[in-house]
Amino acid sequence: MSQHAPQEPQSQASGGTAEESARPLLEVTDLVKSFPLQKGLFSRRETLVKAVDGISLYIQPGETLGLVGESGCGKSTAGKSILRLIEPTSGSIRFEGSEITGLSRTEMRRYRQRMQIIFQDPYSSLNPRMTAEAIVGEPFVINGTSRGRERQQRVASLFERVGLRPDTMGKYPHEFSGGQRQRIGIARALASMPGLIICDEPVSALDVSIQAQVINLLMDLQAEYRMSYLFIAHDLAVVEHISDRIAVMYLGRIVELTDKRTLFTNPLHPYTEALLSAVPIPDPAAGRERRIILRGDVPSPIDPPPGCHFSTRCPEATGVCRVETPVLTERFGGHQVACHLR
Amino acid sequence: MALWLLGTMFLLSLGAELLANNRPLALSREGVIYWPVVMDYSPALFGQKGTFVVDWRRVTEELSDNDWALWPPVRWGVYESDAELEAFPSPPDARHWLGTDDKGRDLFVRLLYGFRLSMVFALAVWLFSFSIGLALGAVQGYFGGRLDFYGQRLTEIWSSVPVFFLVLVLIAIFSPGLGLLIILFSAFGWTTIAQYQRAEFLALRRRDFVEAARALGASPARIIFRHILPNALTPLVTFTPFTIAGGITGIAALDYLGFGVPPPTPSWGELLRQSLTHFTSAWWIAFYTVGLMFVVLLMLVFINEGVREAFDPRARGVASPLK
Repeated sequence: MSQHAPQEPQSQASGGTAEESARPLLEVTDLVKSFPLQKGLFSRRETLVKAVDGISLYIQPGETLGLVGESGCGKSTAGKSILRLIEPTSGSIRFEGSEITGLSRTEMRRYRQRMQIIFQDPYSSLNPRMTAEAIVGEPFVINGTSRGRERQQRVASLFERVGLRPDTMGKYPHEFSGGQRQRIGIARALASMPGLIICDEPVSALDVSIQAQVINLLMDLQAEYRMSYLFIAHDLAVVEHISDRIAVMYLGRIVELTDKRTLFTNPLHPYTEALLSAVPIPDPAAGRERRIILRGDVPSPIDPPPGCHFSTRCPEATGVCRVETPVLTERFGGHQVACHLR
Repeated sequence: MALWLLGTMFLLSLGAELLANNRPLALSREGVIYWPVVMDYSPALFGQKGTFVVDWRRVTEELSDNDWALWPPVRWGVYESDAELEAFPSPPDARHWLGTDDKGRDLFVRLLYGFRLSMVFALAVWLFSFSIGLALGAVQGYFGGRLDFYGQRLTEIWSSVPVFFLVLVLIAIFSPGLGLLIILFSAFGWTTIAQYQRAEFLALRRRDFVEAARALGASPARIIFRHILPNALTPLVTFTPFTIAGGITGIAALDYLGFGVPPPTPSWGELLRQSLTHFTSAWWIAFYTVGLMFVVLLMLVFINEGVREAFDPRARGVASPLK
């Protein structure tokens, strides 16, 4: 396993200036991704859907930031925009101190190895016509880092590391189970020794028993290689275990961002409170009265409500909430929240 | 199985000269070995006068006991009219297994050479039109956006050209030949497959495994050829037998109308026309020509079935009844 020794994130950073150790690995500022929507057949007017509406966050080396929100709130779009798999509309993404928006495909390549992604669906994320060995070995092919027997050995050791039998390397993805496929996806992401892995709901599609295994594997790997994770999930219970800090998203915006303990003991945003109340507690007597049921559905991102996006469903919303957009502001100890009332 | 059969038939037809000819494959006369199939000899060598081509049958008959001649299984030339027949077309007998056409040429030989012509034409059209269609469809579907928009409009305009009539007009202007026909059919045949390829690429380029490759820094070429194309072969594979069948019927139709390859080139379309003319008197022309065409097209359908099953990675290892 020695060839996978942890690599200092600074080692590949560009620029001659000495990097501070406290410098975040990833720094996202005002990231916006909007999709044009054509209205009508002949109309030239276009509506913009702001899937990601100005989010800012940072991740320290070796840290896990959980990103939670309902389906369609833009969390996956945010994750893919950070990797520039989806081209962000505006905003800045700094990785290892360098701005990566606006880089050409070739310039982007050196960062690609350092930022990887694990997908939600272990079925669609592996090419059905490649063997598991070819899939996990592809980073070596693309980066030209190793070939022939050496590559095979590195793939085999990656297989062992993620808990797969190396003698299954020659099989095709459809011959593996969902959990095993997700391990192949993890091995592929791990192969280029990234500093950051975006985990896009990596366990949502798995059985509950497998979920814990995969999360534990991710945490072991993090401890071993000192990687950072942006862990996207729609479920606070999953994020709770793995995250150091948690960001809560609602309709394209981050509404609350703080460390895990504070979020669970002292949530400030009403939406976070509602989400927390939905986390199952293994005690039938405890639950009932603390459950907050939100009324209505998430409004369409095509036509979001003015002011605070949550105002249509917030039990405490007042007049100002429906007019003015609350800004994400820091309260104490780095606890950020976007709410007029708290 | 059908693929093997048709493949064997095609390979055999490529060597049609070795199977059916009015020249021996090899001939030994007075210690000298001649290769009449591949070389032309002066009739004077064999004491034949007043002609420009050697009558090899007579040469063979005049051979002494020490000499020998190796003839192909069928001893009729493709352009050769049997002068000893009383009337054309002549019915099937021991002399001409499938009978002759209306010019006294052996029907079996004509069908064999015509099959080769049809297959060469269909395969060439398939190769060229699929190459063009695949390339354009892949580029359009993968890069999308403006390129895709204009590409689509171009394809639509191009595919609304009435091909058949244009082909007729162009053939009337230029002298028709196999090469020209292949170019014309390819130039207008790529649109369908381009459309299907584009759709496949559009659907696949946002799939997670393609995104994963992009996240690894793979080049567009690598993504197109390694990740998308192997998963987008379904339309190519399923359309291949149909395109080949279309090529065979297409050239037969042109030949039938007299706009295809110039006579006396052996072709199925020409035989079809004869069979219509002599339908009441010479059933064998229609029967064997249509029968052979039917068998070939049916085999293409079987091939289609087999190939599609073989191409499914999930079915790999499972015995296919048609393979």
